[in-house]
Amino acid sequence: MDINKIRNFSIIAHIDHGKSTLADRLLEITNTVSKREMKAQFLDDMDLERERGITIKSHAIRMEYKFSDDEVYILNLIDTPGHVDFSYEVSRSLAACEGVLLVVDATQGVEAQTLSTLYQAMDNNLQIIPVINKIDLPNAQIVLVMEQLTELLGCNSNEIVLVSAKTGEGIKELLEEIIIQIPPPEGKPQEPLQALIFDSIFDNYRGAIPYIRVINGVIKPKTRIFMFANEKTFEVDEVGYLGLKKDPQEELIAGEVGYVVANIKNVRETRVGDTITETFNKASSPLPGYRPAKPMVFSGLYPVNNDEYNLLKDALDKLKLNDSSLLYEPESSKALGFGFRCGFLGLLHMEIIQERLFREHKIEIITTVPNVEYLVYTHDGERLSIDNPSNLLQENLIERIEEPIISAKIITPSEFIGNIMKLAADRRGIHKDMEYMDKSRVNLNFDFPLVETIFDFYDKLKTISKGYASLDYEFLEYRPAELEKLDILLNGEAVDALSMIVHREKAYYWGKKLVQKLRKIIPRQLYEVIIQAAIGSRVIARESIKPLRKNVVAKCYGGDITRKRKLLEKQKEGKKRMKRVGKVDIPQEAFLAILTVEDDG
Amino acid sequence: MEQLYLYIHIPFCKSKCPYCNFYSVEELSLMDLYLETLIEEIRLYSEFIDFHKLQSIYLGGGTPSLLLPEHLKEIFTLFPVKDNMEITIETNPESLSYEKLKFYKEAGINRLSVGIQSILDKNLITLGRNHRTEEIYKILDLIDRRDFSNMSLDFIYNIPGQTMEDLEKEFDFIRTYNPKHISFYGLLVEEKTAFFNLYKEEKEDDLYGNMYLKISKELKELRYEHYEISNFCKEGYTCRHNQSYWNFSEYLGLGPSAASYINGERFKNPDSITDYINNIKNKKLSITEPEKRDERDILLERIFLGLRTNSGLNLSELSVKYNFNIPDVMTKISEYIPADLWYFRDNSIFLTAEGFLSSNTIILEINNIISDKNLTDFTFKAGYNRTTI
Ligand SMILES: Nc1nc2c(ncn2[C@@H]2O[C@H](COP(=O)(O)OP(=O)(O)OP(=O)(O)O)[C@@H](O)[C@H]2O)c(=O)[nH]1
Ligand code: SF4
Ligand SMILES: [Mg+2]
Repeated sequence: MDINKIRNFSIIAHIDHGKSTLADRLLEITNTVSKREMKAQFLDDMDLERERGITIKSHAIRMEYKFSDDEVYILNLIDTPGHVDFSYEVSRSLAACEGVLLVVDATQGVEAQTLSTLYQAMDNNLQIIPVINKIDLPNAQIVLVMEQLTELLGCNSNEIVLVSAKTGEGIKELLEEIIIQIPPPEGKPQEPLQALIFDSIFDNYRGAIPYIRVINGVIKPKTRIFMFANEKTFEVDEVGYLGLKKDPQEELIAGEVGYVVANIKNVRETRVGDTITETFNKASSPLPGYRPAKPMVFSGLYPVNNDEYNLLKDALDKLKLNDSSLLYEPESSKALGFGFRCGFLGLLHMEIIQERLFREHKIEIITTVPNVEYLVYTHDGERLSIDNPSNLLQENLIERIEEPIISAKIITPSEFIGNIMKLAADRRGIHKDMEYMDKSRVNLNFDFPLVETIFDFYDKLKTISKGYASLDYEFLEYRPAELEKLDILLNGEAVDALSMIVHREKAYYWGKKLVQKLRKIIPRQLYEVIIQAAIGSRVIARESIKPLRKNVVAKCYGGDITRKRKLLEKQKEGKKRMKRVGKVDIPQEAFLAILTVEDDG
Repeated sequence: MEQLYLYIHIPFCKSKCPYCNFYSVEELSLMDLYLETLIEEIRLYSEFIDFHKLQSIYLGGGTPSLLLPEHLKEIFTLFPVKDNMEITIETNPESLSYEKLKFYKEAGINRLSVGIQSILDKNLITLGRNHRTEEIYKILDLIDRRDFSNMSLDFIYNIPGQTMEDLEKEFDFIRTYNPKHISFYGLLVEEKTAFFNLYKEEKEDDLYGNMYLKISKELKELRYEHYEISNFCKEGYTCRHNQSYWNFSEYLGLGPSAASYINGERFKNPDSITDYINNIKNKKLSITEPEKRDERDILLERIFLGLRTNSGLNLSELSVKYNFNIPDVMTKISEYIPADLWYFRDNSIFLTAEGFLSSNTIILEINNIISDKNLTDFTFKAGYNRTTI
């Protein structure tokens, strides 16, 4: 293998700008996927990705292309997700590459994640090829977007490649630019092995399968490999390329991208970001690896069926392998039993994990109210991290509470500035500055308490800007705030899984809304149910649910006993999916009631 | 078993009522063919079922009063009819007549059930019934109470638009007419009925419950016993046939959609008159595979059948079978089920009228408690099981 013929690159862009569709055309032109097998967004192979039309996971694939110099080049492509919640996938992919295609939608122009992914690529010193996509659309504003890009990158407009991932226009040119502009990898095959794990999957028969980029050295079957992070040794069974299917090879050498099968049965023994070396010829040090993902949103995950705790643990271990931004540790709740406190990059991430647990592992879970991680300083000078509201100390022990602040960038057409300013004020935002990107578009910078942006902030932003504003954010710092714990009591007993930490000024609002919402969600029971919201011992809102007085099969249906039994069994199934707290059966939605509070005005 | 109860389904109605999901068809022309088939079905069964054990015959529907005397004659010659048998026919005011009544008497029918549903025209109209109050009075005048001392009237409540005042009028009527047996069915809007599209948005009010409790209270004052969720009777006039469904007696159902319980197995004829006719023509019983019930299913059956009537759920029997300690179970039940919904007497649990009203929830609660592995030392085996009493 001639390392000079390898090109490793990622496709990066704001969400929906056409990365996966562009990848389709590259797969097609290189004959990696035949016309017959082709389907839209071919690499989005998870059901969830196809249903939602978004990329959730990075996807690596190897292509071959015979260039005009008659040489065959190896192109290792990684398609990345555009949504902010999956930005960690992007950062991991970049570490396996020498270049990126920075794709911009000709009808949308530069948006928030265009900037954030670009900066990530720059941080990694990658060759950047600017690409304007969707030039087939009648409302494409090619000149304007070119101006934005030349300004942003300090490049000439003739360096920008114009394509339509839909029609295929410009794809061949793009492919040649990839070969010409992106440098080959620089590894040294004769050095001791250093391979970066950038992703991994779990196979029921073959165990954990890391995806690697070999930086130095060679890896092949029978190699005894050593994992830096946990100092475990394995023997390689198989290595190969990530083609359409796994394509076994005799070896992978420096510069190449591929997979390793090494009978790694315990999923905890491989970690994305870790470096693989050779046991008997160790590299002196691991590669820099990745900055660990910083979870923004925390929530408790509990199996609906208490017996499934171990299954859930196992499932989380396996998901973690495939999604290294997921963090979790065991916790228990008086109301819900044993479960896990999990950290997510955002609400979409949380939703996806919940769905994957259900689809891939058949486990139904209850998710508790999402919240952020607070720092609590006690009068004794102690500092505690609180990521579960029910663990908040009593008020009299607390000196102050600090909450996470994000710095948010909102790019928007200038006509929506007024609306956005108003939304920001509602959400305790502090306006920092404003910069015109061109005549009509501004880049607004705010500081927000993170917690104010996790519930339906993004949707609101989209609504008030007719879909045009885009948002990117990163963690900034912790700042003191006036916060209190809001408890929800059912028949006088606080339900820990429903507690939340709220800003003092909003406590009454949330208390009232939540209680009303719960009254709608919790079905009538044999006993009356009193729902209260309380701050400390002060009740701030109350509702009640009258006892059930109608659930009966009045008719006899002749002697058709089976029919009646089936009816009861259906009800029994419904009941099983609820959690019983004290004497009250609570449906799963109740724990996420807060997310839908705004819906009913 | 020594006793057998027989149900015969007459799957014909002149026109389908918009709220009804019983199996019936409007092709009255099939009646003769149907009768032939029924007789063949009885013949097929008589090879392994001893009809001498018969305790009751119940002609239900559909509209059995559409049957002509010659039809009935044919049916009854097939069974050894004895004096002490309970023989019921469900009738519809619309298709009853003096001649039919006379014939019923001659044929040995000794229990009459009349589907009057309401004595107010506006409710009958909403229900899409073809008879009116006037016909009800006329028909009732024709019935000689000496011939049919054991008579039941069917009512429906919770009819859209029906009020509590309407209900009072039904009570006035009952007070005067004083039938021995009354069924009061709460209208539930069911799938696959015309009402489903009209009224499926269930109103979340308490009218259903209020009416039900009012009926129970009022009829008790009129010295009716509330002996089953929807049934009331004067002392000694329970419907013996229906009791067989609830106390695990054996019963055989004939005709499409009829259900049977024989030798610990539950099976039924499918809801299709054409399948029924075709199968039987080929000398094949038209029944479904016996229901595969496991021990959990049977426990649930026992609980809901027990709690349905005023025979109650006998905990002594259950505690032996499922190996639990009655006081432990009672403690749980007292904790989870409000006291006004049930009472405990002679080791049995009974539901009050309020309890009947939420009986599904209570049944599931009790089922949950009894199958709780902390309370019950019994291993529920999955898999096919016949009921063993
Ligand atoms: N007309 C036109 N539509 C395009 C083009 N490229 C992509 N699209 C459409 O744009 C939408 C988004 O395309 P994707 O390829 O899924 O975008 P993506 O960037 O991969 O999205 P994420 O992975 O979710 O960030 C789809 O409906 C595509 O069909 C193009 O060149 N022209
Ligand atoms: S309610 Fe009675 S008469 Fe009306 S369709 Fe149903 S079975 Fe026939
Ligand atoms: Mg995509």
